[in-house]
Amino acid sequence: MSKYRDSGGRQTLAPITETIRVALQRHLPAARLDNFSTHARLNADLGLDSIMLMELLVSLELENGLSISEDAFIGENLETVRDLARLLAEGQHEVLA
Amino acid sequence: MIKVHCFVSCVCEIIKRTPGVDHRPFYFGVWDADFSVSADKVLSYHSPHTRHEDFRNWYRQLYGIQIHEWFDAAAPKEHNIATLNELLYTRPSERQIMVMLDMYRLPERENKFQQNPFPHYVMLETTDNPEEWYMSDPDFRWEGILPRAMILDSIRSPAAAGGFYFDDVDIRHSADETVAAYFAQCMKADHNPFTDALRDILRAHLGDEATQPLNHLSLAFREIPVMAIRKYAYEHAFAWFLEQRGEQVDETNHFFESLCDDIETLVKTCTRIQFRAMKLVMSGDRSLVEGIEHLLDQQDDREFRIKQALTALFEEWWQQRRSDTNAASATEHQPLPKAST
Repeated sequence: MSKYRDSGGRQTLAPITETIRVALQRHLPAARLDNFSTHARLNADLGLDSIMLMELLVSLELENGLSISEDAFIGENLETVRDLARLLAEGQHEVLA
Repeated sequence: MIKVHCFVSCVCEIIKRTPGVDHRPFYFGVWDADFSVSADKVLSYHSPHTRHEDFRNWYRQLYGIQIHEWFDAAAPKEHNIATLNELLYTRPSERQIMVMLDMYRLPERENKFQQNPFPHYVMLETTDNPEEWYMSDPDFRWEGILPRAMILDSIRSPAAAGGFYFDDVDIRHSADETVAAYFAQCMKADHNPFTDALRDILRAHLGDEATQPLNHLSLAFREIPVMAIRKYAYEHAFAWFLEQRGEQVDETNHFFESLCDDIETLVKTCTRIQFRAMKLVMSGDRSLVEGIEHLLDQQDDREFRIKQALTALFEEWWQQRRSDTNAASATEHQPLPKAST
């Protein structure tokens, strides 16, 4: 069973959120991790610019197999950690489907 | 309102507030505005040598206003700060004073690009409180009062070096011939400098001919977002020419909406290119290069189509203007005026 799904096969955002936190800690030391929470805003609270966000996305894809489509990244309004976790969960769903 | 270039936004603010004068033709110079590529192939929207001479020259020709440079790049920063103080405390009411500062040093202000440093032009005035200054930032649609010491600290940043002033008196309506000459100078119909630069930088990091290590590419492309949004200036130009033709420019104008969609794709594809370049750097997967090159080719095709559509509108406008002003020669094809810089 995927660690990103509960026993009923439903997606859960908590493990993905924790994976995001760990990736930030490992790859983006300039991020303001003290402000990290589900509702933290990626730019205003965590201090991620567009390049840092790209770095985060690529590291999540290469190291954790979590990805979102380019269209989602470019078209969606990624404002909070929860927005990102939700899109990563949807990407996971597409892979598993 | 589209805000895409801080210098242009500052000088256009007063034009927008002047009845009978239109700021949008000034944006002709923005979509392919100057940028720099350093010797080690790093793209930058600003360089220490940027003095905006073309914009200043055309501003004078279009609106009759002289933009004076008060910042002395050869002088120490404290000398320039003294000049700024003197300008601000002796400012006539009609004078607009611009200064470059480093937005990264103003954490109270939104910095949507989170760039460090982030050179950026704003306008300043004094207030009744000697410890506070009023700041107007037309590019980010912000105005407010900030501590003087904090503003000066942001000006003292080594990344910030520039300042101008101009007086908003006797602003004049732009003559058709001047608008046409400005368009002729700005329209680079046979090349797209930004896409050309991205392609050149990419290739400088790849293959046997590489002059830079691949892992340097992320830094080289770092400022793409700041320059990509300059392409929204095309929207101003299309809107202006269509309105000159008597068309309503809103969501019911399908031609304009379609053009805006193309411009949006042009901007967002820059993000796509940057994202794939990041993947290329972090994964080392060279198979991604072909896709990036393909996106760059698509960008060229897209921007040439936009330029052709805009040029067609311009030529129609120019002929109509000539017909209006010289009925006797209405049937003759009028040559475009030459740019006189």
